[in-house]
Amino acid sequence: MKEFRKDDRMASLISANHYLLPVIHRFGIRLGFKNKTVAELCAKYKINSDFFIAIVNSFHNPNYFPEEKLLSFSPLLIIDYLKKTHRYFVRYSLPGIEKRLHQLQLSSPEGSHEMLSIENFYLEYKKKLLAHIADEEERVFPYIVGLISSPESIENKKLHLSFEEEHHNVDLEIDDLKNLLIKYTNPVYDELICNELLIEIFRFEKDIIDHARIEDNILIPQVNQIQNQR
Amino acid sequence: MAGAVIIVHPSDIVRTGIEAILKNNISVEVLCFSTPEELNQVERSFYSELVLILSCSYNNHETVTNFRAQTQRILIVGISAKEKSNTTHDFFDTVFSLCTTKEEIATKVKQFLNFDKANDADDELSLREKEVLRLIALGHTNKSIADSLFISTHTVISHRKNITDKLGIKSIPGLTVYAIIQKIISQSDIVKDKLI
Ligand SMILES: [Fe+2]
Ligand SMILES: [Fe+2]
Repeated sequence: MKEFRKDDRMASLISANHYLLPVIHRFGIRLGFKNKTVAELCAKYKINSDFFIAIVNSFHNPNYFPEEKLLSFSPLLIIDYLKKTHRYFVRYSLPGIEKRLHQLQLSSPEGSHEMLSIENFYLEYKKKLLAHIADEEERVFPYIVGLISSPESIENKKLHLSFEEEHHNVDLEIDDLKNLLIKYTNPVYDELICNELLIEIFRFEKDIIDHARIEDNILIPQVNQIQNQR
Repeated sequence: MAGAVIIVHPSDIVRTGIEAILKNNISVEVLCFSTPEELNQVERSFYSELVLILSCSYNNHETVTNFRAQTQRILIVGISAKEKSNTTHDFFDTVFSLCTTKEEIATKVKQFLNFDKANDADDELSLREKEVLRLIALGHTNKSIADSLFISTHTVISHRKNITDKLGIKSIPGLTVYAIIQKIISQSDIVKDKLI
């Protein structure tokens, strides 16, 4: 699979993989790229172009994960990106899925419990995911920022950090949601809505797996390293 | 296109042992070699999926690296002579140590080669499995399921695993929704706000 470079045109990234659109958007780079390269646009928007290209490449190719490269960036930069991704999930991905799921439920015959229970399943999933995100934003990220900016304020308070189990559960449930829809529902509902919903779930799943991978394999090891140096 | 397991290890005992474990559990083609160079004899294009189990001392061996690059799906497993190995090595996708049980080995290989799915294309649950699923969906623990069905917890766990393998649904909330859809339980069986 192709590895993007800083002298590639930004527009060519999108042509190669349109799933990158939200990733690029997350960095604050707006459409209307003209023929500008990645490096030029990063300079214009004051973005670390090495970081941008590493994130884009690892998103583009799930088998490419430049761990060493990514570990070399400041945790603050990474947290900033993770927060932007959270915002995207909360404001866009989750409401989008929820809306389609509800339409789907409304399109199935009255008295059919199937879609209602799937909708409930999703709402419970969403609750858990939002709680997880809130925990990261309110407890974990501020702790890390403190650790870096004013380490003296954090007296020996070692926070044991591991998200792997929570991430694993979140992955399982979104996968179950897909399987329930694909394999086990009676197609008495509007299938076009269901197709769109599934496409949206697949997209979200890819996004959230990439997100969790950065947290588990980059941010947490960085923090452990800082803690051990103290 | 087919899947296979290749074992590369200088020790006869190790090769024979792993081969026996695999043959007893899965019907899969197993090839054994004592040195990585012999891998070149393998007709690579014939296999779309490979599990390569090799001595940890062969890490970064050129022949092995080529194998990884040229096989569509490959799982490279290191064999460590230590009792326990928690070394996560970049080169290996996973590591088996002397303490790894035969079940773990068989499961790992099966999962990667998708054997469970291939053999259980039929996702019909047995009556017993439906009964276990019903109790899972109603929120029972393994222990209480075991007690009410007069079976061991161990058996409950193995039923659970089969259910999950057959359905492709892994979380308890997911299984609960499945049970509702298939009318194994009715919605009124579950207290409203405890639903899922
Ligand atoms: Fe997160
Ligand atoms: Fe997370």
